[in-house]
Amino acid sequence: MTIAGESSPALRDGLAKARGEVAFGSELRVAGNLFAIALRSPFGHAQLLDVDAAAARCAPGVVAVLTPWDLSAPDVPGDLFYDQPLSRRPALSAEALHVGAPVVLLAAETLAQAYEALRLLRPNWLELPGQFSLEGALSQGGAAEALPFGAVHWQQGDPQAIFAQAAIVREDILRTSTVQAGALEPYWALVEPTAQGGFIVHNGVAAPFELRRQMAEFLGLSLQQVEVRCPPVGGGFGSRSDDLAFLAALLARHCQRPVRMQLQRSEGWLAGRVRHGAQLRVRSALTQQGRLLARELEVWYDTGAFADLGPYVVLRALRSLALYPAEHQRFIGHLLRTNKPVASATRGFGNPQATFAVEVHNARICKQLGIGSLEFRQKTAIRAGAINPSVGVVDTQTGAFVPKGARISSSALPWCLQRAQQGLEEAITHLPACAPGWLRGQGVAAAMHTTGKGRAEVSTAEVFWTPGLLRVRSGATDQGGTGVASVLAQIAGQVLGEPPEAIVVELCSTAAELADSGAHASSRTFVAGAAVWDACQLVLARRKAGEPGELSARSAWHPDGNAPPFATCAAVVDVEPATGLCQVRWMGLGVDAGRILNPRQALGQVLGAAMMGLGFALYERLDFTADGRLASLSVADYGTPRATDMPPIDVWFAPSVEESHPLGVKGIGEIGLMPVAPALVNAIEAAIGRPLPGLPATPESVWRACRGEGGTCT
Amino acid sequence: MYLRPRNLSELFEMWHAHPEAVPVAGGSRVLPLGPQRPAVLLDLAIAALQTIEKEAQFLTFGPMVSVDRLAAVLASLPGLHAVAQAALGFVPVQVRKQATLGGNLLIGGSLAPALAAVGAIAIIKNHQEIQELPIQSVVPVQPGRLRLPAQTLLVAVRLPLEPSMVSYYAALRRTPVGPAVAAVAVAVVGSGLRLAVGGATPQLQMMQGDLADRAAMDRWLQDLPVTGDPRASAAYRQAMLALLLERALDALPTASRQSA
Repeated sequence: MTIAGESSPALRDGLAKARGEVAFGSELRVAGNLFAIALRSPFGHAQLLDVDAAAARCAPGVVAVLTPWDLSAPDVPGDLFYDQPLSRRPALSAEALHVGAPVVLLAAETLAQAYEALRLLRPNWLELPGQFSLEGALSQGGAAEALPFGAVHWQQGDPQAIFAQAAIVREDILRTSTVQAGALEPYWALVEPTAQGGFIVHNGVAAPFELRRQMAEFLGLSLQQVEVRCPPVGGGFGSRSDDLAFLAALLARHCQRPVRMQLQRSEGWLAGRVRHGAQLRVRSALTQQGRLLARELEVWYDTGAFADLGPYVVLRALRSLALYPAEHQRFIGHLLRTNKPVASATRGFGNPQATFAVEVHNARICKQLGIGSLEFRQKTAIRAGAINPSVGVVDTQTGAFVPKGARISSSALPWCLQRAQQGLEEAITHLPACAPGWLRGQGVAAAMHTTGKGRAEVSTAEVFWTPGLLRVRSGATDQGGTGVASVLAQIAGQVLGEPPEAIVVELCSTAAELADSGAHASSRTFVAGAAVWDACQLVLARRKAGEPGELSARSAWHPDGNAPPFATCAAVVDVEPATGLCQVRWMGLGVDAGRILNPRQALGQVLGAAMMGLGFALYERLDFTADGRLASLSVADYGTPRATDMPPIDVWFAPSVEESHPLGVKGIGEIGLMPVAPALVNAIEAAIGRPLPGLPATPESVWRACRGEGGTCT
Repeated sequence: MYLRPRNLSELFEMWHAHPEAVPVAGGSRVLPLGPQRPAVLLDLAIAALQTIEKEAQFLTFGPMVSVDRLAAVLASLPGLHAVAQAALGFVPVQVRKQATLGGNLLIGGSLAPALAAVGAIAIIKNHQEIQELPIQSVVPVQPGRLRLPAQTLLVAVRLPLEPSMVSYYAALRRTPVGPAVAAVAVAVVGSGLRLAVGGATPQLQMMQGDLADRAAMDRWLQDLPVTGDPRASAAYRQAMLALLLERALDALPTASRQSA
């Protein structure tokens, strides 16, 4: 196996994007397409009693105005949680369950005409009481649970008995904020009816075959009557499971014309998908020497108005518990419903919140017991060969999680920890002293994630080869610049010995029937790459056998397991107690993502994830008023970091090979995000000697912590 | 209709003839209309609004002068240091090169407290008359619209060239590019002091006093109508105002303090 360590042809699609030669979905138009917009609820919870649409219907260019009473809109099926339709939700309802919920759809010949007509709608609202905060939902207890079976839960051993006896018991409660993915490209969809009575759906969705399934059910059509096409996406980060395609489909079916719908940035905050805000409780029992005896993690994730992918998201919190196996463990994962915008599968899939809580808790344990962070993690973290208890299934009747007994086949976490510590020592040596009045702190954190969602994962590829021409067709999508086309070309080219210029990669629509479970959970190279590799191996075998002419092969790859990647982050942060301002002076990330096929792209993934982690840690927060309206005042207030806000970052890839995978790879798209926020907060807490309440660590929250008004810990 | 006047006279003639016209001044914040298109646009990109004039006692800037250019011109003038600091403030140079003096004032940006502290004058004009007002009287209460009569335009901002003046600006933000949650600008001439506060209060606040009377400044700060919002609480802002004032006073050149 020689597929490793070459960045070429990393710029296969990246260079074209940089040159502006790639047409993104938001630029897509088809002949005669209408422009659609929605009247959205300005209230956190309200009933649309009626709407006077007479003037809007007569306005120039208006083709259709659809109110909830004009059509019997079916529910959006939503993803299945195993076999349960827990995410089913109305596409268009007179009851607006969150601010920004669509209640009236409008299509016109031009966008300007659509907006002009929107102003003519006269809605009659009845504002309703609601649950507009996670704190409020927590006070409701089980009444706010979004899942019919209550919480997802798992227990091993008897943690309660250990907590009752242990020498050291520590509990921390931390919070994280609702944040948005911040993709540059707006949310959009374009749906066009076909002459045969079907529909072509253009959308930047991560899982086109899943969207096809849902859309076919939504429209009452067969799978063959729906085609989903995914043009290049300008940033996805898992957040593109919005309902725009379904709304556009309603109008396209009604008007029998193509309909295009795109959200403005401010609408995207409300009608797109956000990361779950959370409260997390971590409790550990330890010996005086720091041996972990029992641990309990209970999380409450704010899913907003609908569950969407929330059941899976809350389940992923279990990864952070599994990273530090104790004989006695307990996990309880609540998904709470509020009247807020819908949360879903934003990069990291529920793990960033939980990893943050567990890793800050670990640092506080180390401080309390006077043991080193590195030493504690080296001794306690899961090792290769151990059973990963976070891989399993949920009983959808009871919510009980049942581990499958999957083993960790590779882990270079010890290497990553060692490298981060070494990098930290070097950084401290070279950094200039902090300014007068400022304090310096160091922090470390570790993380384990997943590669693929661990169920029904598949990718299909076809390869066609003649000397000098290698054509690769894949069902994979390039969700937000994963660089999948480059990696697929690299894999195919190396197996069959063709140079980059001889390789053509086609990322196909669902019409090609190259089944693919989607661009999620850091799985592109792991699943789609393996499918291409396997198809190329078949072609190679036929070539070696001397078969003449064009050789082709098809492979549908189902991965065996979901090899967890690991990462560590070390950070140096300067803090000014008088203001609470924090300045990140340096970060270093050690990453075990298995064999690195394309170092340049891998580095890009880690740096992008680190940037997202920094925003999550220090700045980003969607604020809501007491009655559920968005209170974040502007994009600048929201605080997505810019390139110039990034500190110096070192990234080290572990010399690791995942033995369970033919290419030796593991996921890389998300793991770099996970340890950043806890490492930064651990550094801040080390600097000021006080606990913080959670994320983001705003100047005011740090200032308050310095004054003893900080976190909840017992 | 897109109206493109060549000078100020034409501008006001066109505006008078088309009172429904929406002025367009480069940045998108002047036109917060989303995808809607007004029937008439009035382009303000004329030379007269982009000039910088120096006289013996004044420096006068057109409102379309870029923030970056403003900062560069003021960099060598100690008396107007606060304005240069506020202009350089936080945004990257790419934004400073596009952002304008008028636009910054319009959105309630960083410049207003510094300009008010140094005693800047707003020159406003309509098709009939021209007026000079303290800058603080045109700064918007709500970002997005200067406090000007209908069909009146901010045509220049005049800064005093006072050799004995020293000034300083300090601000604190929640996010790297967000607006200040508290900002303090101080200008001193002799023992006379002008103190302006932004960010922490709904409107720009100003006081004039004696540099030696710190107690009066503290009392004034304590009595300000400081408000909380998602960026920061009122308590935090109040505390930061006191801290920023202290830092601003400490940073004023020693010579000035001795002369006071």
